[in-house]
Amino acid sequence: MRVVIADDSIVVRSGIATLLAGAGVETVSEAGDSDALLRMVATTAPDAAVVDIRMPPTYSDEGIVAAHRIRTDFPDVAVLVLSQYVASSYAMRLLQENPSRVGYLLKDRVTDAATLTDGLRRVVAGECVVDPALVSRLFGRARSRGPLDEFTDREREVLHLMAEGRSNRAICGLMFLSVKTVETHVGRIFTKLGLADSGDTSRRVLAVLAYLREGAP
Amino acid sequence: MKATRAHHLLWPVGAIAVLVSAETLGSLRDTTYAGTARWMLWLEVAAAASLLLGAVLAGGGRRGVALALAATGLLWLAPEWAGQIAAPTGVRVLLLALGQLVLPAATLAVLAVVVRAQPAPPSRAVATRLAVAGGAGSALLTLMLADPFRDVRCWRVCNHNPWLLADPSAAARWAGAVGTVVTIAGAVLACAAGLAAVTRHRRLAGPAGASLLLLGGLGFAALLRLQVTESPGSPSYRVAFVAAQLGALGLVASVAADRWREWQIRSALLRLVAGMRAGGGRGALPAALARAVNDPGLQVLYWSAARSAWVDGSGAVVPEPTAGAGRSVTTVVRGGEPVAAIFHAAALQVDHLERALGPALRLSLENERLYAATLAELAELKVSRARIVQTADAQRQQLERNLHDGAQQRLVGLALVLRMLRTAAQDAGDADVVALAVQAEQLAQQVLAELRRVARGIYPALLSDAGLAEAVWDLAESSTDLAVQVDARLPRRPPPPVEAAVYLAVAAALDDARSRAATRAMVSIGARDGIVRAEMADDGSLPGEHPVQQLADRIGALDGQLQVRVVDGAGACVTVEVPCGS
Repeated sequence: MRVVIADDSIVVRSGIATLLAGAGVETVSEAGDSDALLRMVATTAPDAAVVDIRMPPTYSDEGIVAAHRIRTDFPDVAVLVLSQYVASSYAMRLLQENPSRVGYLLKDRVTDAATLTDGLRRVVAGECVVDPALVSRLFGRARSRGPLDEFTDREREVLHLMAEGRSNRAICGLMFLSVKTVETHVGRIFTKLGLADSGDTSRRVLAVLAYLREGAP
Repeated sequence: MKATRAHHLLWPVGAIAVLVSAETLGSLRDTTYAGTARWMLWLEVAAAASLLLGAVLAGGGRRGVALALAATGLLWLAPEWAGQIAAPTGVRVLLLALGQLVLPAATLAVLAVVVRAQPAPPSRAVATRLAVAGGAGSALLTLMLADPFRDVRCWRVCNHNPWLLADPSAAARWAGAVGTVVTIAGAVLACAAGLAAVTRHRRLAGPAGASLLLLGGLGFAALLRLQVTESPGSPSYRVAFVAAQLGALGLVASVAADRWREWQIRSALLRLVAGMRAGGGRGALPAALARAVNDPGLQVLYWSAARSAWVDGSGAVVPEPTAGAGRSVTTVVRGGEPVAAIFHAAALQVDHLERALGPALRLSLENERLYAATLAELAELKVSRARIVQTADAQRQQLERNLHDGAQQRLVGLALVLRMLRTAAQDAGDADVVALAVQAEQLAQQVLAELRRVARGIYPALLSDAGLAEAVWDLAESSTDLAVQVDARLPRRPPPPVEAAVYLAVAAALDDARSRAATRAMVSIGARDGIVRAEMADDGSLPGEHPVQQLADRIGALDGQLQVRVVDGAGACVTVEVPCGS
């Protein structure tokens, strides 16, 4: 796999590159800001881009904006955004603007080559990726009594994995369950939450995240 | 005080002199104009009496005008009185000499009434000096060096001059002629200055026209006397005489009209003061003043000593008032310090308004000034308070950025290097180094987390990056003990200080709800009519000394409001309203 890395810190960029190299991922180019990133994506045609959310000049949401431009201009290139924000808003914005091949991981993951490469493989394969810590935070949020209280542990686990962007097939593999069992769980979850299963993974992620965030807390 | 008393005496004395002499003058057919026709007599008496009346009307307010008119009025009949055959010759010659002072006195009166620009033009001082010097010279020469008995052209008085110092000579006659010419020159200069004044103020056209008649009549007669014997029968002299009488009447009429306008304004202002005592409230003065002088465009500005600037009634600083485009400025001064500047139509004479402002109105203006100046200082304080909060926020934000872009990035780099070190050690099979590397990496992650927590405490980056709504959502998502429901609808992001103030209020209200064992809280944020409104309701125990109140300063710095109230007998509802300032 060939990737482009964009981060305003050289130390972080080269560190990620070295780490990914160890996991068999080739870094074809590094960029310090989004303009350079877009140029490099255009010239090197990588499989994916690893983009820091805060970059020059304003250090706010440059990474999210760059992700949307890459996904629009280069539909074959997947984007993994690294963010320091565990809040769900940027992740949801990223998923709303880009229906597929995007991921939102916390920046703490950069030292964790396994998670990083797993995330990259998933977005390149067309999935969406949402950092598990972000989903856990939404789960751990205080809320008054509601449908979630009636969930079994198994169902909660499936919901958690769905929110992370996992497909039914991936959930099967992770939970050692049959496809049919997982589909049953998913169906029951949607019924309990009063949501319609669109079948489309990214829209499913958004619906679940939105429910966890806003729905009857 | 003395001048006032003299001015009280002047009017009756002059009036008696005029009335007593009127009938006798009318009977002196050969030595006075008054004796030639009844209407000439009454015209002359009316002119003299009106000059005295004008002096009374001008009064203490315009002392120069009053004195000049009084002098002219008292001297007006002197030449005619010299014709009294029955009177002692000494008195008659003295009156003849005083008659030389009529033109100079009239010149001074014209200068006082018409030429009143400040500062006075230099022509005014020159004209005054010429009139005084010429008049005094002519009068003294007539009294001491002229003998009517030896004058073949003598008319009113033809007796020996008992005051004679030396025999009249040709030189004395020439000197007399020079005195007359100097006096006339003063009068001409006064007329020129008067006409120049008309070009600046059209309303001076009336008095200037009267002045031309007055000084023209008197001056022409004086010039005529140098060559032709004066006689009431001569048409030239008659024309000059009538012109002078009409001019005097016209000049006094303009003074009277001036006083009438002034009186109108004063009585309107007096009514205003009476109305203000009855009520009207703060800031009503300018509008009432505008109504009183019938000038809707009238504006009143006040002097703020603390800010060294003019401010309007609301305390807003305005540029230095300057006259122009048909507007004039009257500055009201008290104790050397400006109090107020009144912008008014130029048609309203500055001196009218200035003198019409009575003590009560001045006091009202002073009160309004104090109020406006206080408002100005309050506004400045508010602005500076908001500035202090904004500066503090900007500094905190900068500090947070520095932490993120500096220390935090390097720590991430360090954690990456440690991870590589661990991988290398694993490859080399050095278990001790691997253990140490793992330990160091964990430590680096802990420091990173700690640093993030500190940076967030300094300034929530999400607030500046993603805005108020998302930052409040983040508060709700991170809450593990209090179920927070959020309804944030903001069509666009409010200015950063407003976002920060509202965010801090929400955060404080939620912390407070936790301290009162609340289990649920509802946060609603919206914007309407340029005001951001946030409401935080919870189901906690009753609020005591509410800590959110500490935020009132920050909210107040933005001209906002913070309210805490008890809802339905349980829980608190904190409401924050902050104007967006745009």
